[in-house]
Amino acid sequence: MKNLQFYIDFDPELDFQATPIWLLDISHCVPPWTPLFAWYWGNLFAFGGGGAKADASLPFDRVTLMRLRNGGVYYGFSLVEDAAEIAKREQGFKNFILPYLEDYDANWHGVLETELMGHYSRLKQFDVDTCSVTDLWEHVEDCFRVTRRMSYLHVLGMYITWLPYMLLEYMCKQFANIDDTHPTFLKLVTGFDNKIFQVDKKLLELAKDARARGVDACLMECESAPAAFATLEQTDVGRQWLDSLWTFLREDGWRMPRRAEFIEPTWIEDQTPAIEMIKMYLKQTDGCDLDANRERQRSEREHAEREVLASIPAVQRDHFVKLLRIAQRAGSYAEGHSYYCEDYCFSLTRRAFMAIGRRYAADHAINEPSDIFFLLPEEILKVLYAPQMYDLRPIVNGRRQERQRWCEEGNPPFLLKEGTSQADVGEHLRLLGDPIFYKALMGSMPTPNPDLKADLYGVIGSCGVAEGYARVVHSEKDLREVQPGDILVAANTAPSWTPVFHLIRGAIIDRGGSLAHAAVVGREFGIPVVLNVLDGTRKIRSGQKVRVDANLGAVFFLEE
Amino acid sequence: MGTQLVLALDQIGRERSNLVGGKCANLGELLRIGAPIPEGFAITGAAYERFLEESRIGDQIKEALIGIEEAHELDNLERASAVVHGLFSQAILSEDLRNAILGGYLALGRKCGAESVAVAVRSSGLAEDGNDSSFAGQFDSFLNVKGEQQLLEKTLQCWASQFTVRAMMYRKKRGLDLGGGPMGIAVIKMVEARTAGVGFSADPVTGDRSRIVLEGSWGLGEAIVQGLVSPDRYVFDKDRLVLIEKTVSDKDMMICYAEQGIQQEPVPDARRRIACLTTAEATRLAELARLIEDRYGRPQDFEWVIDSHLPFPENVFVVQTRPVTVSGVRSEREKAEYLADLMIHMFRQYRGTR
Repeated sequence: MKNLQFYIDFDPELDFQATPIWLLDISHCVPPWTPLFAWYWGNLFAFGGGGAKADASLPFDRVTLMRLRNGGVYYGFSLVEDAAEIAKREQGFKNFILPYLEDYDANWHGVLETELMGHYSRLKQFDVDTCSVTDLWEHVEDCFRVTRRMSYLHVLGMYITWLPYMLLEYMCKQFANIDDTHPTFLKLVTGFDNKIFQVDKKLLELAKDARARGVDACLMECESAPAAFATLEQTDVGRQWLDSLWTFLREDGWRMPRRAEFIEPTWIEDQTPAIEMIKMYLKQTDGCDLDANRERQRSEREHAEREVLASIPAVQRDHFVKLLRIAQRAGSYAEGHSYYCEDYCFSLTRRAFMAIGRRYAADHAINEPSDIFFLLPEEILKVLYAPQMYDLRPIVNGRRQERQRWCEEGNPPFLLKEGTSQADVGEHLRLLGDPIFYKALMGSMPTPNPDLKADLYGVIGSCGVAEGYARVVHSEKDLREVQPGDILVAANTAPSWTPVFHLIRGAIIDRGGSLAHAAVVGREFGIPVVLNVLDGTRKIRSGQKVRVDANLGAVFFLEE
Repeated sequence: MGTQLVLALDQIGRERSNLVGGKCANLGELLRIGAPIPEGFAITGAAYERFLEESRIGDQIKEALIGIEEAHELDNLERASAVVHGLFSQAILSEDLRNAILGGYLALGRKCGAESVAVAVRSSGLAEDGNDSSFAGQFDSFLNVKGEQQLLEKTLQCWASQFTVRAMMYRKKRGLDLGGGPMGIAVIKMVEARTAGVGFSADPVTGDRSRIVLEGSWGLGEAIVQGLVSPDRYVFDKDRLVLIEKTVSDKDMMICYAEQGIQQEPVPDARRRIACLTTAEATRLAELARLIEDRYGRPQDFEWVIDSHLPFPENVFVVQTRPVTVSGVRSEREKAEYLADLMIHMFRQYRGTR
């Protein structure tokens, strides 16, 4: 079986010539993507996001190249060296960012939500089951167009929100001698709501409602959603609770276990993940009340603001306060954008492809509808009007096996040209000054303090100290194993994992900076988080007692 | 509007701001109240209008701006901006204009006892809405300009800076005339700054009017205004003019003149942690803060410079003042401009420090 080839596959010869350092996008493509999603990201997201980056005109960073390798995407960068080009880009950057600095709300707030939700509501109204094949493919193309636009706004939003965050840290370093791992800095940016929290709050309400109606035991005992529903259907209270659940799902069920992939069903198709989240809320006895937290965080934040402001020169204060107000949205954007960008867009695109998959499966071109995710658009289009004439199963099976192999092997975190070392990577990112990579995806590298004799060193994402039993979580499926009081250990976390933060006492994360999901959510929940420990998931085993010290940026193993 | 093309600073004050722009008028005011300002003169808005007329550029600008309301606004603005800048760069000043401007320059040189005296050429916008600050930071300024040829060039460039894409977008957004309006220019002798900074005749944060706050650093004031350094800080009791608080910071960077324009330099280690003002200089500045506030009748936010060659007290200069309010007087636009520049500076720093 010939290996799957994309024209955007990583080509060592050509691509290393372009740039020596290529980084795996660990927060989106681990485990490896299906071929169709890889195509989708490598083309559509690359186009939209690339457009936003081109418009942003970062002075030293021309472009983010995307290349695929075994279901993973690697990013390569283009450092600008020429002084004249830098000067031109600086002017371009200033023109780009000014309106958002001048009036962030008028020029941005609402744009993302309003425009994208409008697109989604149009896509949602389309009936994928009764339409003609031609119209169905038009609908797929419509999903593609929306994806490109979503990618553009997604990346634009990051720049206009996270660059102020980066500047805030820069000014805090300069004048107050604190960086984004300092407790005072973290207090400045904590205590803000976001869309994902609001959705999770609805799940919490459903859990409370289940308890009030006395259907919680039934939920706790059931292994899957259909089993639970069968029991619930038999009683009035059960049916009433199910009605509320469906009301929730119709509005907010457009999400999948993985943030960036569409092979797994949405919550509307398979309600088990939603039930598992509700069970997680039912498990906790003294759950975290975010609203109550926020009041305390607000007063801590105001205190921190006064403290930092005292060390800002008088002539800078006006600007600083304006900057602070924008930068304080960084965490909310880091979380909330997933709802407006990835969750809805990818779920609707999945729905379109599944509709094609069902037709192809009925005509025996493929075995099951989800086989469609192992084909590329050109291949799907080739047989669109007569799938019954082709047997695509050998292709699908070959690729399923190939992906299995990708999953077993895993993608290396960096592809480095000979003569380049891992130590060069952080430096490379700093030079580029792209906050997406510097503050969210990668974060700064930890500086180990040998005196601490810690077992792992990381950077602080949310302060505090906690001890507990480690729970290593590789994917959302493992989340159900998490017990109250555990310390979560993961390569990274996703917005759909947020409810688990109600259960855990702390988190140890392989990769990420102060705007990574776990850091943002950890701060809002007030639990310690250490990030960028690099190989926590390999060195820690589930059940091992550990202490996470997020005041020192260290992890201690309390037993072997 | 008057017809004089050039005016000495002692001939102008607030009442002439519609002829010379806010910045020039402000300097004239300072001079009137007895604050020490560097020597200089103003090129008036009438000179600009005269230039447009004589060179026929005025009509050509109007032509270039026709149809700009159409679609693809940014493209159009960029094209128009390039066209207008081209017009200015090829323009030739009439004999009258040249003579007036160079006459002002010559007189300035005579006063300073030097030929080709180095000057700052700063745009001084004539606001249509009567609010000077609405134009602040919109147009270009040039530092360390030397010689007749350079002065004429920079004058044209100052005028042309009304037609950057940014400035035009700003006007368009506010429904102002895209073609801009008359603009004044302040030509001021450069002070070779040993130390520079800002002063507040009331605490700008708490609003405490019994305090005077000074912030200063080595080299030109841009280092503080651009946020490159943590400045030294002096707090005075306003009534008694007594220094009640002094904080000396580690000032690692300064901005100095280069061959042309300005450049960033590291501060020599020996000076980094040393106070940038003597107590006498600081006290003199506090006195000036009180004087300016008295004359303007409300708390002021002013910029000052200490000359490196002159003896005390002749070395102390005030270069700019405006009212201070606790919430700040800068427009949202100005703050945004500032932050955007600071971001660019941040990128450079991340790039530069390995």
